[in-house]
Amino acid sequence: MTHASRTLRVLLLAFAVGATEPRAMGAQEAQTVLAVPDRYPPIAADIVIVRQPGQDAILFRTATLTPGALQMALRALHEARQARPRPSAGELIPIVGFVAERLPSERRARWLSRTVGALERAQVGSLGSFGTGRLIVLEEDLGPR
Amino acid sequence: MSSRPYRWRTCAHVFGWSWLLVGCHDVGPTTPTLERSAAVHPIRAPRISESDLVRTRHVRTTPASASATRQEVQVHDPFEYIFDPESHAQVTDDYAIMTSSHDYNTNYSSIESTLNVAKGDKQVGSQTLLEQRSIFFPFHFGLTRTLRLNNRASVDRACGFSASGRASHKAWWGLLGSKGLVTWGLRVTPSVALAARGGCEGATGTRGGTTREGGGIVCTVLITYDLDTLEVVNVDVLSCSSGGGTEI
Repeated sequence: MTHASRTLRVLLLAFAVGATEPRAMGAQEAQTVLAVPDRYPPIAADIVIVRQPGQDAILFRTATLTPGALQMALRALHEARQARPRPSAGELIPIVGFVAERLPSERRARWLSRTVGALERAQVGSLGSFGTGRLIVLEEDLGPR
Repeated sequence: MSSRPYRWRTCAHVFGWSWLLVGCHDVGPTTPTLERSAAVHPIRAPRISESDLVRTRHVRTTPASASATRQEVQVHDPFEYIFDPESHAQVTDDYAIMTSSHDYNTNYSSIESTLNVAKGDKQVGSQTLLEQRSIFFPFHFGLTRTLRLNNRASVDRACGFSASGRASHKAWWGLLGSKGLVTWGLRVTPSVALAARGGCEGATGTRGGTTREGGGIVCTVLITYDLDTLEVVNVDVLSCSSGGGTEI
C-alpha cells in the first residue's frame, strides 16, 4: 500500500468519523435526571418526563417509584428521543398508564433496582418549577440492555 | 526515513483508538447514578392540571355553513331538541377511536367524550375531548343539524388494545356574544360506547417482528410549551406504544 493510499484511507476514516459524530452527539447530548419532586403536577399521571435543551428529567411520585415504572419511563424517554432528537420547544410528557408485559434481563433488573434505591437515598436539591426533591443524574444514560 | 513520521502518527492513532476501545468496553453495570445536583439545570416547565389535558374546540358556524348540514325532514317531539345521541368505539391498527354524535335544533350544542384505552383488563389511558358548536341566530325554524366528534388515541397495533368510553351530549339556546350569560333550555343526554377489542388476525409479536426484553405498553401525552414564556403551545393526542422498534 502506498503512502498516498494510506493517507487517503486515514482521511476517509477521519471524514466518516467527523460526519457521524455530530448526529451521535446530538442524540446523547441531553443528560438524564431522575427526581422525586415535592411539588408534583396535579394530574393523574404517575410519571412525567420534562424535556428541555441539554437535559431530560423524569419525575416520579414517591408511592409509584418502582423498577418497573423506571423501566417504562426510560423506554418512553428513549422513544421520545428517537422521534424528536432535538425538540425546538419544551416538552412535558405525562405517562398516563403502562403495563409491563415482559421482564427485563437480570442484569438490567439489578441496575433498575439499584437506581431506584439510589434515588430513594439521594440528597435533596432544587428542581426549579417543581420545587425541591431528591434527584440523581444517570451516569449510564438509559442503563444497560 | 521518510515514512518514520507516518509510523509515529499511525502508532498514535492505534494508541488513541485502543483507549477508545477500552473506554467503550462493556465492563458491566457501573454505579447507576452520579449524585451531582449542582450540575442539574433548573427545570422550567408550566404548571399544568388535569384540565390542561382536555382538548377543547369551539366552532362558530355561519348560516351559510349551517345550510350544508343535514336537513332531512324528521318528526320530533316539539319540546325536545337533542336527538339520537350515540357513541361507538373501535380499534384499528393505528387508532383507538370513539365516535359520538347527536342531532340538535338549537343554536348551541356540544359533546364531551372520554375515551378509555385498555390493555387486557387494565386501563392504560384516557382522553377527554370537548367540542362545542354555535350559530349566531337563536331561531332557525326547526332546522336539524348533526354534531359528530371523533376522539382518537394513537396505538401502534390493534391486537391487545380495547377502547370504550362515555359521552355527554348537550344542546341549548343562547345569545351569541353574551359570553354564555344569556342561555336557556339546556338538555343533557349521556351515551356509552361499549368496549371494542382490536383484532389479532395475523399479529405475530410486536410490530417490527422482534421480541424485545423488558417490554410492555406505555401511554403518553405530549404537551409542547414555549421555553421562554412557559405557555402551553400544543397538547397532542394520547399515544400508546407497545415498544416495537425500540431497544430498551
